[in-house]
Amino acid sequence: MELGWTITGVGMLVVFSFLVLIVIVMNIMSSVVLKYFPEKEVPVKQNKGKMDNLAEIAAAVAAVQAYSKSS
Amino acid sequence: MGNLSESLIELWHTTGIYGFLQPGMEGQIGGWGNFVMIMVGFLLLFLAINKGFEPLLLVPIGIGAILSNIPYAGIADHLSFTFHHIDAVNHIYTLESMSGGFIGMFYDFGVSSGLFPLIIFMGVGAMTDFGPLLANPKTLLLGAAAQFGIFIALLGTLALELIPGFSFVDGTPVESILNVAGSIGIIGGADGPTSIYVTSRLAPHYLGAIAVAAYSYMALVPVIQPPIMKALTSKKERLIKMEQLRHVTKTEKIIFPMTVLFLCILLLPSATPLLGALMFGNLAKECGVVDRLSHTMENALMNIVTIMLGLSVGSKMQAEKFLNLTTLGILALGLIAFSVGTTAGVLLAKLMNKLSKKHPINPLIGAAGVSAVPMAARVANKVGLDEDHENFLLMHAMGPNVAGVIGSAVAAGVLLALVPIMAG
Repeated sequence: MELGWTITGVGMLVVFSFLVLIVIVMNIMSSVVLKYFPEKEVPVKQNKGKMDNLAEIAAAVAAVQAYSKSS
Repeated sequence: MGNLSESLIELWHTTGIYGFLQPGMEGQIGGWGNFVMIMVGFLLLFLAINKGFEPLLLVPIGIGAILSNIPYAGIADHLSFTFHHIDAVNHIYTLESMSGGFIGMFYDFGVSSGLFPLIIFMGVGAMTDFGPLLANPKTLLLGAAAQFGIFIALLGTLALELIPGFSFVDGTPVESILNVAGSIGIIGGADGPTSIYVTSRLAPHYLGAIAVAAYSYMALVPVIQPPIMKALTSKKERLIKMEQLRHVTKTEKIIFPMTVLFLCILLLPSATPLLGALMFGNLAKECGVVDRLSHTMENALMNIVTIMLGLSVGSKMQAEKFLNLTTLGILALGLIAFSVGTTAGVLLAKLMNKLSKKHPINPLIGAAGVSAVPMAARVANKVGLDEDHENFLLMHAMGPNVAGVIGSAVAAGVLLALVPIMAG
């Protein structure tokens, strides 16, 4: 029975301290990662749809106009 | 004619009816007890199919219980080998034959060896998203508090042993009572694979009863937990809304499994089989370059092992081992362990809520600290929704829930390291 109390005490102590340690390490890890390795903004994927074609055409037209105006 | 009637009588002696009518013997064959256990098997199937109770577990377990109690079929017979002696001087033997029932072989290769629980853990790792935990690391503590049940059940076992006439170690001379107590306690971890792993290491004689208890209570989480959760919290606390979790980057998710594993290597190597398998699965999922492996782990491999593990666990529901007083003791202690774990989780969550005014914590998520992923988190979510049907706690409860898996693996590591030394 005494052994049981010992195991209980040691067991809960170890479980708690191990998880507290993980919490601390996690916090450090997260702050380091967030500071030095921030996630790159993932560019929004362009859909190959009608809208894109229109946008491309508009861009092309604008470029041509700009070119012809400048010249 | 004589031959014919003799043959018929011989055949009659191999029927199930004849087998059930025999007095129950030590071993596998005969007795009304087998019939009772077959009926229990059908009851499990009914619960699984008609009531939808954990069908993925209970269908294989139910069938396992039915098949292994069939008289004369020997489906759960353990492996036995016969060897041919070829060189008496140098003790060289060759394997002549190998026999055993098919479920008995599953059991020997996967459960006794401790192999299946580890494979399941890989699958669990590949399915688990530690994101909610990384977003709110302090919920790890809830997963620690809920392990209190393990040690209460351990103490309970030792206390029961003091009652004269009731002993867990009678007839099983191999293990010390501490080994048995540790194995019964681990039921409170609410984690089937961990229970099986620890018991196969500490007290293999009790594997059957403990596996059945652990899996039954996991299926009963939605029944056991809500009354405790409601009794311990006020309506106001149950209504607490938690903040939206922050976004967790992919880098964090990749580093996390390796960090936990590394800490474990440094401090608690006895927990590394379990945590190593878990973190391997999780790394495979998060790293993004071995999707084929992680898909296999969480689907095909996990399903295959679940089938074999379920049948093996069911096969331990054998009459002569199951219908006795110590099994009832184990079931009672398992229930206590489970309830104490839930209580401890909720109470710590209440305390944490009192201490952190800025970031409120709904105490209901504390109950999810007893692993049982994802059932316990769903229960916390459901109890929360009962009060306020717009308060979704699921993601918040997943944090303590997966912390519970780590917590019970750590507790298992402590038991595996301490008990054999203390039992001397």
